[in-house]
Amino acid sequence: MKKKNINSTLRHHSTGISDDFYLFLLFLILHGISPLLPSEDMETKVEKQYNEKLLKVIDALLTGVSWLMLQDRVELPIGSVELARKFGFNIQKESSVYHTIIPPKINLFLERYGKRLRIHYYGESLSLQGLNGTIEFEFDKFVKELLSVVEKLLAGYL
Amino acid sequence: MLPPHLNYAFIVLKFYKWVLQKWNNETPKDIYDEILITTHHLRFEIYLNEFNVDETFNPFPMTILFNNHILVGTCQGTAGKKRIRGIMMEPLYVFNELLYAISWIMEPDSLEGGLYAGELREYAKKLGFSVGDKNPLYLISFGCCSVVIFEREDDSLLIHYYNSLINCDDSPYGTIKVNLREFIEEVLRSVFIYLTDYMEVVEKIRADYGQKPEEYMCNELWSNYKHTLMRFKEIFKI
Repeated sequence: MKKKNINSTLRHHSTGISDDFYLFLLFLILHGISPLLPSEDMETKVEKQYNEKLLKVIDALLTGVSWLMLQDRVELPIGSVELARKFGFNIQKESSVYHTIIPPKINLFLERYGKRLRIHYYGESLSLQGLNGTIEFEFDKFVKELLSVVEKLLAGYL
Repeated sequence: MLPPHLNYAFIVLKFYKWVLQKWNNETPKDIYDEILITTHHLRFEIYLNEFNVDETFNPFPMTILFNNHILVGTCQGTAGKKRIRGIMMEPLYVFNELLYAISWIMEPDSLEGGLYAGELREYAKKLGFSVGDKNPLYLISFGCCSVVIFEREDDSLLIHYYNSLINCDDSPYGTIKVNLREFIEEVLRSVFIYLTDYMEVVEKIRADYGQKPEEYMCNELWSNYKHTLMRFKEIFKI
């Protein structure tokens, strides 16, 4: 139901790169589908912003994964679990949690519970109201997919 | 084209490679005895072969030099020969702290910061430095014996240092004036070199002796670096 929500908002912004589209890209990455590589013409401003946003998401996901890879339980930053619960997400007691905010103001909670990875997202600004939900993955599979997608994406940037 | 250490895409790529290495449990092939990071003014020396196994917090002897002044470390001179020795430090702490210092000092509305409880301005004066009444200050305490106070004065950075361990002809006190932006870029470059070329070697040494990554948290230096870089680019409009 929540995904439908994103798709429908996307239709209203089919020109240019809207925040929703960018969010959609994020979902594509999360589902292992590589979005279009940035074109060779990187001069335009829109393109540049888009690149930086996508890079930020990649960076955030990599950082989260690098913390969750550790054996011991981590909570970063301290207080993330409490915040996630405040947003209404059910966080297990033994979980490792990494919290970050990606543009445009979406709270991302990466929760690792045993071999499972749950990504909770929560849009904070007014235009993103109602945008929240949870996507669940197998941790190992997710990391593998993420790493292979990121490799392809970064090859397009440099 | 921006140099690699200021190029966000390039840094994400390097970070990606680091994460990939962790994921595949790859370890570096070459192990060095000593790490040397030299930029225009700064010089970092980390003596890996003198690793202290029992120390989680300050396992490596380290020296930091600025324009050949020893900010951290000690000097023993006999018969005209100088020998510089490091003091036990944590490289991650040093680089993190330097990043905190520059990100504090470049903020337009900073006043006093760093690991000092009390009136930093008074303390700086007590040490014998003349500091401005409104200039932003940041204190870095390196180990037991070395204090470095950054003072921003318009576009310049004054580095006041007091190293009670110096034992050659050098005076333990001193002030160096540098261009703020150049210095920040130099610190960023040094940290970047450490992150991309040497940190994996340090990690391997620690892992070989049974220290766990949770205990020293390399991830944080990456995040800190990226955060500081973003702010630097915003403030100086790069």
